[in-house]
Amino acid sequence: MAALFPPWANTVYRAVLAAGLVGATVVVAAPMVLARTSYVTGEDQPIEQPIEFDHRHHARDDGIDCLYCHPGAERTAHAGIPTTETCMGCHGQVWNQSPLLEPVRRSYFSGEPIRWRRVYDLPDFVYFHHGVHVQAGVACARCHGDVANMPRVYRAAPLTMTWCLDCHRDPPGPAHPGRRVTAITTCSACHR
Amino acid sequence: MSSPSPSLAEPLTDVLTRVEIRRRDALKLLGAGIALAKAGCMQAPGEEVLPYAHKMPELSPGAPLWYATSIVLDGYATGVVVESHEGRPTKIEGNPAHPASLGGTSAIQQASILDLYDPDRARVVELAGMPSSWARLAEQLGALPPGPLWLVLPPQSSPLVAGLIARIREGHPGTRVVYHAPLGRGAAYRGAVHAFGAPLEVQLDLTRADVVVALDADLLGAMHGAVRWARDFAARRHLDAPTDTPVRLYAIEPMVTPTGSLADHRLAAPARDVLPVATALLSELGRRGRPVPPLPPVAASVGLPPERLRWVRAVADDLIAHAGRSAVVVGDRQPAACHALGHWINAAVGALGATVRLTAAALDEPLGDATLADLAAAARAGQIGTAAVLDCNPVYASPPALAIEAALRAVPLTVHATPQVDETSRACQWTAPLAHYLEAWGDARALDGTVSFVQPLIRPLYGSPSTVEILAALAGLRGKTGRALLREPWRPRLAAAGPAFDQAFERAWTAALGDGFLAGTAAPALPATPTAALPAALVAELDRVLAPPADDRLELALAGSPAVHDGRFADNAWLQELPQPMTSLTWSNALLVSPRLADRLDLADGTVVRIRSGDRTLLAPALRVPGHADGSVTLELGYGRRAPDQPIADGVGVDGFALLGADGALIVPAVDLAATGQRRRLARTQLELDDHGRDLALAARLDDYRRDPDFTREHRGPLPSLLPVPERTGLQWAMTIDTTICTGCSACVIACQAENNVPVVGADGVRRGRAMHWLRIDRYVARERVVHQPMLCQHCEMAPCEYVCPVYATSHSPDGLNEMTYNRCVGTRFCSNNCPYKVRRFNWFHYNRPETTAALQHNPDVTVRDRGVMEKCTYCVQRIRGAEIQARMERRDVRPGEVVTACQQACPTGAIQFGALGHADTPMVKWRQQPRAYAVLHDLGTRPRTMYLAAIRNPNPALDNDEDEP
Amino acid sequence: MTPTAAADPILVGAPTPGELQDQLLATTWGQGGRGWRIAFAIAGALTLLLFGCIAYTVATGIGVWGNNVPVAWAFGIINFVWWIGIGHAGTFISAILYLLEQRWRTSINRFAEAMTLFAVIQAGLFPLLHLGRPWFAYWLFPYPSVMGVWPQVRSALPWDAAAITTYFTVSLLFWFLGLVPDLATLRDHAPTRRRRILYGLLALGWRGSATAWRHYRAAYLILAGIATPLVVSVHSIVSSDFAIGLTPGWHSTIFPPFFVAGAIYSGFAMVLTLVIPTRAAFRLKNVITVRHLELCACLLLVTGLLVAYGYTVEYFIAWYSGDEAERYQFFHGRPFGPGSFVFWAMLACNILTPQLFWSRRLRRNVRVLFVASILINVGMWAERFVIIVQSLQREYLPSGWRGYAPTWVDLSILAGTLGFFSLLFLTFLRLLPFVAVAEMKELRAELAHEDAAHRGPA
Repeated sequence: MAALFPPWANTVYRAVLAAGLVGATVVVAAPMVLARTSYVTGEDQPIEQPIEFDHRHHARDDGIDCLYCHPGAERTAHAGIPTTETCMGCHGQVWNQSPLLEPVRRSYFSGEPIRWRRVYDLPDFVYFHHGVHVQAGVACARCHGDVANMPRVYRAAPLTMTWCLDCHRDPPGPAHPGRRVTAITTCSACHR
Repeated sequence: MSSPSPSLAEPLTDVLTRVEIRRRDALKLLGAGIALAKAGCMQAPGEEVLPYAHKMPELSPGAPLWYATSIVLDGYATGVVVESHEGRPTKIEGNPAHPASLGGTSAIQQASILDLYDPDRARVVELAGMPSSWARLAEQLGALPPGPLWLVLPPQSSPLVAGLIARIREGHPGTRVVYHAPLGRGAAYRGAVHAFGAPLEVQLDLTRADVVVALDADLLGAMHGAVRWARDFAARRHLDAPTDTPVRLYAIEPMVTPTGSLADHRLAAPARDVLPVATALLSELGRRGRPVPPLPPVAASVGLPPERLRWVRAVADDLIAHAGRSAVVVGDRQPAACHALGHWINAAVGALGATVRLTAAALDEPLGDATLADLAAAARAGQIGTAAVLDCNPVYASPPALAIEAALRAVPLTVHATPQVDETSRACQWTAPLAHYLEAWGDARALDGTVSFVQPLIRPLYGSPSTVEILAALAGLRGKTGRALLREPWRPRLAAAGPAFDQAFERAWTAALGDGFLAGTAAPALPATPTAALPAALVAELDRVLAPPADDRLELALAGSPAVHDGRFADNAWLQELPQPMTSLTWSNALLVSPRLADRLDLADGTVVRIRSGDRTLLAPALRVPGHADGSVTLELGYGRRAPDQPIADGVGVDGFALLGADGALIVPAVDLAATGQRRRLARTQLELDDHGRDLALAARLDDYRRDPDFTREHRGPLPSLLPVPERTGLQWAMTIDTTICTGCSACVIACQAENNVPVVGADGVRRGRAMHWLRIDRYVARERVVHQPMLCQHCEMAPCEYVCPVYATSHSPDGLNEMTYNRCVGTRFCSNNCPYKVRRFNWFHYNRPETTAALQHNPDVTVRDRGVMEKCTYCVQRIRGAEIQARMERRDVRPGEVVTACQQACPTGAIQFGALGHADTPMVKWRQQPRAYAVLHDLGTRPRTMYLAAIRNPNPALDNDEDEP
Repeated sequence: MTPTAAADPILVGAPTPGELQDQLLATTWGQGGRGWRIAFAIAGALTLLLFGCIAYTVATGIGVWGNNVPVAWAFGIINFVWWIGIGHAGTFISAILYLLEQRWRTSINRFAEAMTLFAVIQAGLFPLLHLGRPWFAYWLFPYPSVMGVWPQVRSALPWDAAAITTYFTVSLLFWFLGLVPDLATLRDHAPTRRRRILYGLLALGWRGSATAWRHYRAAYLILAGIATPLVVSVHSIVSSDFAIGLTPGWHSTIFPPFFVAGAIYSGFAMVLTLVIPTRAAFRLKNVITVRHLELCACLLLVTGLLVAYGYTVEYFIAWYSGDEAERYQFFHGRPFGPGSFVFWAMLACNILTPQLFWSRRLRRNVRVLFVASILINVGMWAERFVIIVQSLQREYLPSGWRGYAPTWVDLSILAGTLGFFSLLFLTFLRLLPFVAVAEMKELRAELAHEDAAHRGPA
């Protein structure tokens, strides 16, 4: 009777086996790689805001200090998004007719908050305290990047746990002299 | 805890206007938060973040604020401090400066925060079931139909309310007021009238007491003032060294109360036998030459069984031996006569003016104006035009004989202002949602007369009016806010008239609100001495009640529930699931019987019993309680509610009020019990009371302790170990608990629940052994002696749970905490199996329900746990890390006493002490250096960080014998 | 124990290779009988129930089981240990008996290996299923995660995960390797082209050349060598899930050998439970002879005695330790506490039953063997219940004592795994020769050769 398989079947068969092995490897490896890409971490992706706010203009050109609008960063857990009042502090005088700032004025007079979109967003089981980091001499830019040159703010860090641990395991020297940075890796430092 | 800064309190309402987010928004945001938590460790990009439009002068996002206010129960105020996150109150704590609190709280006070966010709250004004409005109701209250106005409201001590009621009386002549409190203290005041001719208030000073006798008086648990008294008692009960002599406590009571469980000599007796004992005690004092009034012949006829007589004589001797440093306390449910005799006993042993001071009553009209019976009669006679029932539930909490529901239906205009739609609402035409105390302005007096202020922390979630605002409407003061109403009467009182009057007033007002009370307004002690002879009224009463019972029928002693009180807290899930002191029963009440009686009637736990008193019957499941008096059975009130609008309360347990006699006396002299076939599965957290000789909760008599102070040596100290014991540096956190002064009141349990977002699991969950409390109170009973042992994560230095976790979800911190990282937990539950203390709790289901308003109470500093993860006590790590961060930012070390755990903060007696081992001169460290310190299951080598102090008892040698009193 | 070989052969009669082959392949060609179909239907239904309950559990939460605190492990882990135990016989037979050159293994090894695979599949469900958050089960494996955290090697559970996966993989390879020549035979004799292609693909182009056979032998030997330590290691690791704990009744160094003995015990019991009906149904009494059954019975007796020894030592240690909790556990909790009837059932099934096999007559009585094997399976399940549930419900603090009651989900899942197991097994019976054809031919040849040798010097 005729042979069940033609001669080239062997080659195909081996190829298939090989492919199977490679495939299996890929299936395992792919998620590990993917988890480190900005596609998953959301890194470097400018986020559209309700108001065309440009940090370059405020922080770089006008040289306004970060803490002027984010005063919480120095003492409290949240750096804080500036109140509409803060915006109007200047924009009550300058550009007070600009249509771009209409939402700001509306918020100011109605008392309805401006609905900004988060850029740096940690899961609810992570407790991050700005104050203690700033006081320890961690510079804003370490995590937030060169915001002064961002037309639209994007996240400059992956915010993965390994990324946090990089500093927490062997902290770099303080940005400001006289500050003390200590390695803290105990779980409840961030998870409570 | 950052103390409430006065400057904040003033513009509070204005602040709240701006802070307050509409409920729907709040829920939306909350939902987003939860969704995010679910999303795991990756971000949901572009979540919204809403800054305030306008600056809050005192508020920085993420940093909680603290405001002082007061909780009023049955008319007596307790000062508290409330934590608020961005205008959202989350946690109640005792006000350390307030005389009724001294920092402590009761379980009920801790749980009251949940009522604010109760999804079952009444939300709209209703007329005959149809939605109406507060404006229309106010209109209606402004124009009442003809006929006298009757007010039914809880006892009041509020100067503001007193003023308003006076105005109402002016406006509506013939107005009658019923101060309704099923667990009220009328008898106590009438007793004072017997003795002093006036309804005086008893003020205990237990800090000066060497001997205390509690006559059916739960002065460390249920009584008003117990929170303060417990602190004072503990100060005299705690030993720093074997040489100390702690206060000695005698108690006579039917059911074991926190007080009785601490007593050195507890006489288990029916409540009706307390008066004879008091009488005997008085005559014994007389026989020993103390000044006592001549007793009526009936007193002589009181024949006590020999062992009780022996008890009474020993007590009499002890009282005399410590004359001037002893006190007798009579329980609220005892008849007036008993209270009166109590006064004479105190007088005879020189307690008056020393350990017992008498002052004017804290309440307005302490003897009441009219009674519910009067109301019922008048209503049936058609002599009532309007009945306004405010903040109480008489239809449920009243003797069935009075048929209040029918009575109210007979009234032309009936208004019920209530936090929740209940039995009474159904009998009234108008139903008005009542503001929670955290939404309302007001004032009240503490038991000692101190004026305390109630200030809101949040705008009424449903725009509900407060009792004060409703009374104001009745008084014809329309459109005045509670704040305005309160400020008005206080203007003249807070500042002397003068040029700078306004500034002076505003300053005083701000300060008063900041403190939450007016210092130095406690009622002055009156130089009171009881009359030389018993008044005729008292003699008559004695003749009536001292007559020995015809037969030895069983007595039914009704009592307030330590959880739901008289039923007003029955819709509070925390309190329903709170394991009751002594019985560890949850989600129900039960007929509490002594084991001996149970055997006689062949009752097992859960056997349904038919209780018959006269023509009234009730079915209730039985529960054996070691130490309960044989001649009596106890049933706690507040359960068996029939309120469809209160799903948590509805139909839970049985309604003890059904057995209440028309006179409303809580001691029902004669009932019959008959076991039925049925059985009910009670939901209890602890099923085994015997320690099986394992020396888990150590106790000793004082003289044994002195003879052998080192008796706990087997249970502490270094153990040989093959494993390297890690050397730890820096602050090392630890806890010490003194079981000598733990009353088992369980305030800590609720405090922990509120602080740490601990969910409830329901009756079925408890039955299946899935209660989530991080802190439970273990009780071991040996020969009717109870030791309470608060059991929480022991934070073992060599923790068995840690090495079995496959993913490091539970690990050890350098500062000695056993950490639980929820978001790393995969839920193998190996750690729970390997925990010898069984203090780990597992989320079997998705217990936290973010979609209900109750989630608004959550503490934002603590992760809300998801389904399938393990959790447990963390020593309030959020507070520890918070303090550390603060210290670090201020470039200093954490100060001794800076970190206070929720349980420690709430504990009325201060039995729980927490801190760092390095802070040598804190109580926490000093205590654990005492010889009576021990570690539970020490020999396992877990090296727990939580240590206990053995319970030391101070029995009277004259009474002390190996087998305890009957 | 080598009863006279002449008395009862391990291969009845002297079939020609052809006859033998036809007989053994027949099971794959012939139609499954009505009995087979009914069994298959029932097994299928139970399998559906199993996956239904799994879906329900994962969707609702582990709370639908009866577990509680203190009894945080119950049916889930009991079933796991029970199934993995059953999964021990196969490898024991095919690897260890192979290395020991026990000829009689030949006719039952394929069968036992298949049973092993299917049992391990059942067992493998539970470590996943009993997790509070099964979707994070992969955290138990060491991989470079973005969390920068690794599994903890001090815990027995990551080792469990490793051990089970390894055991399954090796067993699968071993089983498949053994199948290759038979698959080739099937390929060459399959009636339809579709089947020939199917078997052909699986046969890996086996031609049966001498070289192939030489390599094949070597590979088989090596795999046997690898599989042998696994037989011991897997259940030792499983036992440390308990042995490393300090729960009274768990905290014991005897667990690893004790568990391995128990595993082989239950494994052989299950082999008997399966082989007895099968050999009857497929008329293979000449290939799987009473001799095989008797030898299994002997092994049951031996391992049964080992288990009995384990129980005794546990009690001795509990008493000798002087530890209150340990003593209470063994002298009050288990014999008289909640669920004590399970404890007594365990003793009856596991200790008394095998004593029957002292009698040659009884261990050659197929009915007795069948019933006994089932009793032992039950007994071994009860043993795990006693170890896990009864230990947990009476621990150190009496305040934490609480009983345990399974829910309908627990029971359904247990029944479901039995169904799923049967389903796989019934399928196997129809698709592949469950007696190794090539090896039987070889055995037959050897036996014939020996006969000749005996008869030689007349």
